[in-house]
Amino acid sequence: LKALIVVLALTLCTSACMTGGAQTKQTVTVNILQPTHDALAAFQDLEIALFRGNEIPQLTPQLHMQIEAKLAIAFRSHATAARAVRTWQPGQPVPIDVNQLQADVLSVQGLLHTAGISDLTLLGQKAGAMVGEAQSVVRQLGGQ
Amino acid sequence: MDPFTIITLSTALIKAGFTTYAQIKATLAANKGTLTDAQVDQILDALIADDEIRAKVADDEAKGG
Repeated sequence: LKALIVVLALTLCTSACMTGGAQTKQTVTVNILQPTHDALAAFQDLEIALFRGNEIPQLTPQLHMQIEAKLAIAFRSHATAARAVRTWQPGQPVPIDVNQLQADVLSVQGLLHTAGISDLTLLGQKAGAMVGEAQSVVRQLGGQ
Repeated sequence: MDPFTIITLSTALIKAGFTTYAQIKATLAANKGTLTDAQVDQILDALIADDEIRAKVADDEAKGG
């Protein structure tokens, strides 16, 4: 996975110059990082609850373990992004691993699809929300 | 402690307003768009801490709970 990591040196200077560095940091934190974290957390809570309750036949122990392994990576990618913003100073480029985060959550959604768990289920919807937030990060901070 | 218990407990604590993350959320609601630099850093610290806790829970679950 390390090989897949694309650390982007994103310059937020343009935005920072327009809105002020502190405001940019706040916007990235409140409008991007926090919703992404909450979407990941909501998915994890639901996935574990459904697995423990044997609510979805396709959610086998093996799939559950695969999903959680991917989520562990995704949460660490998110923490990496948050640390980068935490130490960012106005006028400096911000290294944010946005593509890795997106790849992580897409791989979780892929596992659900492979297992035949529909996007229309609650778990599928939470996964969709998680992917949507990660893609929002990419759109707003750059990347592919 | 069982990971699911941790999450359940964590959720209960958040609902009860005892965690940093919950306090941060309250701060956000009360200060829309007008957070200080220190408050933004607090949010980031809370997010990082929660990311690490959840990654650890996910690690444990991935190993079979």
